[in-house]
Parts: sequence; C-alpha cells; structure tokens
Amino acid sequence: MSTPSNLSRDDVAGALSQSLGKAKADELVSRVATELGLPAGALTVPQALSILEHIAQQPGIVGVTARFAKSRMVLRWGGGTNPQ
Amino acid sequence: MPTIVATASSSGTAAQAVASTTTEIKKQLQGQAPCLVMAFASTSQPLGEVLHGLKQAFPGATVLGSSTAGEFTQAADAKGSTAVFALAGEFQVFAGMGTSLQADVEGAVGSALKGLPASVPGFPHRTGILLLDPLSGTGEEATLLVGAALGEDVPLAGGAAGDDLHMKACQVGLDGRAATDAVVAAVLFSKTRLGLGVCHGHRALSAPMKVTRAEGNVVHEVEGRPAWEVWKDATRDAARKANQDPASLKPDQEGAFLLRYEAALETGSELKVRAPLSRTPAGAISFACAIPEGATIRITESEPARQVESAREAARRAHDQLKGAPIAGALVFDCICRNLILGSQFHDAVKSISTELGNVPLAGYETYGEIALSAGDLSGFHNTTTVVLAFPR
Repeated sequence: MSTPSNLSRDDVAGALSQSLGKAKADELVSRVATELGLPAGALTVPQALSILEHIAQQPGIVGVTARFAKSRMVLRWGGGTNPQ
Repeated sequence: MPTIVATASSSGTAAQAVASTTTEIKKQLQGQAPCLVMAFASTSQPLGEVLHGLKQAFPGATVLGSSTAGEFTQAADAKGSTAVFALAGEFQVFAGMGTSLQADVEGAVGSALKGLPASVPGFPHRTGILLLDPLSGTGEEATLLVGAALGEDVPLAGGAAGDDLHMKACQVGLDGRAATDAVVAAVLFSKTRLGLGVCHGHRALSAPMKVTRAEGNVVHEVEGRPAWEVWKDATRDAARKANQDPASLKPDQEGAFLLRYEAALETGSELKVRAPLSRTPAGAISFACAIPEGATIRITESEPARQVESAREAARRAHDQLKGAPIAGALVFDCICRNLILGSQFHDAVKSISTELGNVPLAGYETYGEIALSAGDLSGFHNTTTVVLAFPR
C-alpha cells in the first residue's frame, strides 16, 4: 500500500463523517488542528493521525468514531512517525 | 460437505414455535447437524424460552437470537411469530454476550468478544454477526468497537432487536439466555468468504438542520426548537398525503411515525440514516445510536417502489461479492420502516431478495437498526436498510 505524501483536513474529516456527519466532522477537525498548531494546508500522515488521536480522547460516539477511524486510517495511510 | 440453509417459522407459544420449527429444520437439514441456529422471535414468544428450547433441540449448535418487530422467511412474513435460520456445513462458530450496553458499551462489547478465537486452522475466512439492543442508544459505538476488535478483513453483519414497536424492551440472546441492554457477537469461520450487501431507499424530505442540543442518543433540540416540534412541522405535508396528521398522533402511533420519517446525517456524498425511536414529553427524540450535538441532519422519507428496489439491490451486492457462485441461503436484517411503508407489499421485497439470490431459503427479522461493516467502511450501523448475508453453497 502506498502512503499518501500529504493529506488535507478534508481527508481527516472524511474519516469521521460517515458516523458523525460532515458538518460535525469538519468542525471537530478544524478546531483540533488549530489547537495542535497544525497548518491549514497539507498535513503529513502523522499530523493527520494526531488529529484523530486527539479527538479519540473525547467521550461517547465522537471518541469511539475517532478511535475506529484511526485504526482504519493507519492501514490506509500508513503509520508515519513524526507529527511535527 | 455442502452448505445447507434451513428456515422455518411458526406462531403460537414459545414451546409450540420451538417444536414446530425444530421439526421443519431437521427435515430440511436431512440429517446434518447445524453449527449455527438463529431465532427471531416476536414479543409473543419470549426470546429466552425460544433460545433455550432450540439449544436443547440442537445442542451442538451455537444458538443466538433477537426479539423483533416482524419476522420472515422466503415463504412468508408475519407478526407474532418466530422465524428460525439454521446453517449446516463446513463452519466453526463461536459467540459471546455482554450486558450493560448503555452504561458501559466498551465493557459490554469486551465481554461479548472475550474468548473468541482469532483464527481456526483450515478456515481462512471470518465473518462477524452482531445483535444488540437499540434502546441502549449505542448501536454505532458497539458496532465500531466490534469492528475495530475483529479487524478490517472481517465483514460484520447483524441487526438491532425490535419489540413490535412498543419501544420498551428489546432483547438479544445466546443459547438459553436473553437480556435487554445487551449485545451478542458471533464469529463464523468458513472455507470461503460470505457475501454481504446493504442498501437503503430513502431520500431527503427536509432542508438541512443543525442539532443544537443533544446528549448521547437523545436529541433535545434542532435549530433551537424541541426536536419533536421540528419533526411535526417538517413532515406535515408528506404525512397528510399518507392520510396522517403528525399533530394528532396517539402515543402508540408515534414510534411507527418516527420510523417512517427518519433522520439522516449529511456525510458529504450520501445520507446516513439514523432511526428515531421515541419521544419524551418534553419533546426530545431518542435514537438507536448517538447523534452528536452540532451535526447537520435532514428528515427523510421513502416510497414503496424504492423500498422494493433497494432490497433487491442489497441482495445483488451480496451476490456480486461471491462472483456469481451458487447460494445456499441468506440471513436478512431489514428495517421495520420497510414494512411500515410497504404494508401488504412487504413480502414482495423479501421475495425479491430470494429471487435475486437464486430462489434460496432465507430468514430474518424487521429491525430497529441494521449492521453492515465491510473493508473500507468507516461506519457500520445503519437504518432504513436491508442487510443481506449470503452463504455460498
């Protein structure tokens, strides 16, 4: 499997939107990316996964969805190593 | 050894249903012992009694089941009956059960999966079957947790229990035990892969609306107004065409009404339908799974022709996965909304599934939610869909 060289916030939100809806997923990813100081443009795989990891700490459906998405996206995107 | 699927249904007491279906299943299996027996029981036949009786009749089989909002086989659909599915052939089946799903979804899922093997030599394919109580409000969480634990290469099929639209007590069970607020997970190890298909036939009725207050599976407000008030307004015109007035529904009509006009999350490319099950006196609406505050939803509707076609399409997708291989039979998890919309035509939809698969036996029930999770999927809990799990011969 090839690892994407860069990802967008839309790619990360897309991993959440089937369970949370697009509006909620977009809002979560945008907020967390800003909190983590990540760029508005292209994200590395570790940066994208760090967003999911951060959201995964929330309780309820949001956290469970992000944990599931991360487990699937690690396989699809590859794991990467450096979030910065 | 060929795969044989046997199906039967019966009304009467639980004991009568067990006796009748057992006789018929044994006749169809022609001396083979089933490895899996699934029972779909109306509220007229207590699920625990049905499962206990079937376990005594088939002691070598894993016996699991669910209470329902309707039951069917390829021959007929009914209310107040029990439908039974039995599978014989080269399979290994393992199952577990967890309770306290609402309070501790991770603990319940962990209990259900505890001790299930990850592999069985000589059986390279795994398929999960999941049954759960939707009134716990944790359908999606439970499904994703099971999906994550089993891994992406394990397709997952199943359904949320029903209770004949009472919205009071939905049971699932394993062997002789049945419970509300519970989850049952089974893993089938097979020599060849099974076929899984899912499809829904709903379309948006309302404009997009924001969920402005929600806790877990309870949506209190939409666009700043009580959710029930929003539902009544948004569905008024469509309901009147069906000779219904949402403002004058009796309490026992509200569950069926909500299941005709379900919510859908806007996911970008498509609608992800979410089933509202009941409303509170204050006007909040409880769903079969959590709806996050801040989500954008639409209210949906469907029409009979789309419901029949989507059932057939689900069967087609399951068959396509098997690349045209002959089918022995199928399990079907079908949303109760289809029965509510189709009425007396409901069996046409069931029959179309059997026809699409080659006029095979099938058994299933009318659910309050359906489960289908394949490789690449990022959500596995559905509403308004037909889920077909096809077993190659």
